[in-house]
Amino acid sequence: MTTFTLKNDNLVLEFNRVNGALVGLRAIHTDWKIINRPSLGLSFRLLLPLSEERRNNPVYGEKQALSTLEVTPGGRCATLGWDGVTSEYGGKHDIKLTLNVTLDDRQAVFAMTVENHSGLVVENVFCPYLGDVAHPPDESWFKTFIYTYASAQEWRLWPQYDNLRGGLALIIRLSFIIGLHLSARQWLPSS
Amino acid sequence: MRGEKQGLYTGVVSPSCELVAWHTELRPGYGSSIDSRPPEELIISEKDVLTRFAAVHVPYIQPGETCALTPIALEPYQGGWQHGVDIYKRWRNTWFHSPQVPKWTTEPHSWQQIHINSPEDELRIRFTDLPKIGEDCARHGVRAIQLVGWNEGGQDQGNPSHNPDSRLGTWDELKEAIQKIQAMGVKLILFAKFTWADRSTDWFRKDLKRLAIKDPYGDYYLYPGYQYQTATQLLDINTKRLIPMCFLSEEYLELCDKEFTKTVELGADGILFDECLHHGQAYMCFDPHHGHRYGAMVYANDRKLIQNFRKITNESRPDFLFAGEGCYDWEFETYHLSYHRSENKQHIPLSRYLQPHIQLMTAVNGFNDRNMINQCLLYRYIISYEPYNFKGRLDDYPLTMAYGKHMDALRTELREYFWDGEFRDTLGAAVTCDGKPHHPYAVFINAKTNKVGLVICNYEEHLPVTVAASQENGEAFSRCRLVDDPVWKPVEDRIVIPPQSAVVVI
Repeated sequence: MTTFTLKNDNLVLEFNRVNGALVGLRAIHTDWKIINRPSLGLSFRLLLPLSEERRNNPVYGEKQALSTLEVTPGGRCATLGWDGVTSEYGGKHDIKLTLNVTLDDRQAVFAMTVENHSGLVVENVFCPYLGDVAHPPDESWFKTFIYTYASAQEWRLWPQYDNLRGGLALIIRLSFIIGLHLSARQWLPSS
Repeated sequence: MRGEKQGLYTGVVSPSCELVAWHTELRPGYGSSIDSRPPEELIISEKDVLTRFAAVHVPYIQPGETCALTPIALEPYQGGWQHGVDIYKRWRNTWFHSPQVPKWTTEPHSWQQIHINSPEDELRIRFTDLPKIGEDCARHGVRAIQLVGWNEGGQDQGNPSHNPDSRLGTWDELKEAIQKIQAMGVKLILFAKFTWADRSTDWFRKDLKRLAIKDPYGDYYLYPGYQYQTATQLLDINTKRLIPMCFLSEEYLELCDKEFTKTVELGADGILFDECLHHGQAYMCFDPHHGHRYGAMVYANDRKLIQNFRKITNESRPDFLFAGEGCYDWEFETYHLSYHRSENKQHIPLSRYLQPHIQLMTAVNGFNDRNMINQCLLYRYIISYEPYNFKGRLDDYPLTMAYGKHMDALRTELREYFWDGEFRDTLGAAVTCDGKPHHPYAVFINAKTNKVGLVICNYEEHLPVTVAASQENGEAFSRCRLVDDPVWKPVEDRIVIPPQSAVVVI
């Protein structure tokens, strides 16, 4: 696997040069290897319903080869481009994706633009998409922390995992986080 | 996502109205489902064990459209949840603007919430009798009344009508009652609700239905509603179902303006828009006739609704109060005060930490509700007195009233710490009991001196607790006192707190 690296004073990100997947993520100050298994790296995911007969038609980013890649010399910014995508059931689609990853001194910002020249609706986009989040070493628990109703909702990720939906039904647990229209959901896979 | 000592903050970095959801997924599934436990190994049955995480954008990008998705930031941090929230605050403070707030709400004070009618028609208090509630408040030093159920049908019926219920009296009788209460020095805030339409009304069935939020199949969403008083309704047999209405429809916003104007014309000091924080199960509207895009985020006009109302009051009533319920952070650009319920010993004061000085109010309904009063001191919440679940009189629960008054007197006396000071949750000081962290306590930074003040509570029902308190900067505390004991004591190695009590330490 050939990769490139973006880095600031707080974190290091490593990307696969072929498909743009994020294959490494590390917190510098604590050496927490947040993504530590490169083979599980992911980049994005689209939902591209073909019709009411085939709604669940995903585009898996890790299966899409990068068309263009630019990395600034200082290793603080990269632009990843996909000139078209191939969905699981619909073949090739004229949908162009551009992902800018920009680092300042403390954080990395993922900004994706979707140009939809296909005849289909792009309903949703997973981005950034982390293939495996390892819990920090030397911790006894790991959970999410999300705003809800003047307080916070916490759901366990490890050593137990709170399944809000999954199995046979898809559930949505929405909770608006700190002022913006953000939500949360957490599930086990149905397949 | 966080452990005890560090975490990974993920947040938007644009004040966008796009729906973004957080998604985690455990694959391939539980190792042991009976205790919700992921497999302990990295590979099980030749399958990788992993936890995925994504920001899920829901933009519904149509053919031919280009869409720049809301940018998402990742930032590892060290420390507790407060340090993750600090990342959000740092960004939010670069663009967020707080509104000018009516002066009286910025002083230590308390409210009473009183409900006078419900969908089961108990018709509890006539408008002409409302001044008695005002007299109660004046006698107890309670500054404001939130009047609930005054509208047609009572609370949670007849929405979105804001006409006074004629069975309780006339328009003029309500207006006169409001004036009498105001003459006693008590503010009168009218409960309001624009989120729903009552499905059972002709108004909805014949007209409003077209302005409801629609799902992708063209059907309206349905909120299950609330049950009141009678066994029939408590069994959910005849509950009034509530239909989320589309704030993206300019026609519906204009209708809301008209309904809101009635509260102004009645002479109220403000409104409290109950359930302004959500739209039930509806996140996006797909109605092609509302004038918005297909698949539009229905929260996008939550602030515009209030901005429109403010245009109505700006000149004639610049001090009109806009209060809401459980306002999410962005709503505080337009709302002055937010009411919520937080009766939980593990309540996490996230809104208070996000905005140390906004006006937050919580319900106190127990007949000896010392611990909720203690929580109000801990988290700088305004007391909303609500005996009989907001259907009683203040004199119905004298124990709670007496303790509440002690607490408000204390935080008025020490307002530079516990009202005007900055709330820091537990940062900056440690409180321990038998060498272990004690819960709950709160750190305030004095607005004038920058010195640290503490509120420490003992939520235990029957047992006292002995704690030790120290500051991170090494400075010492000098004295402490209980809410209901005016005697200051020197702070020694240990502080003893009786059950259901709170101590301030400065």
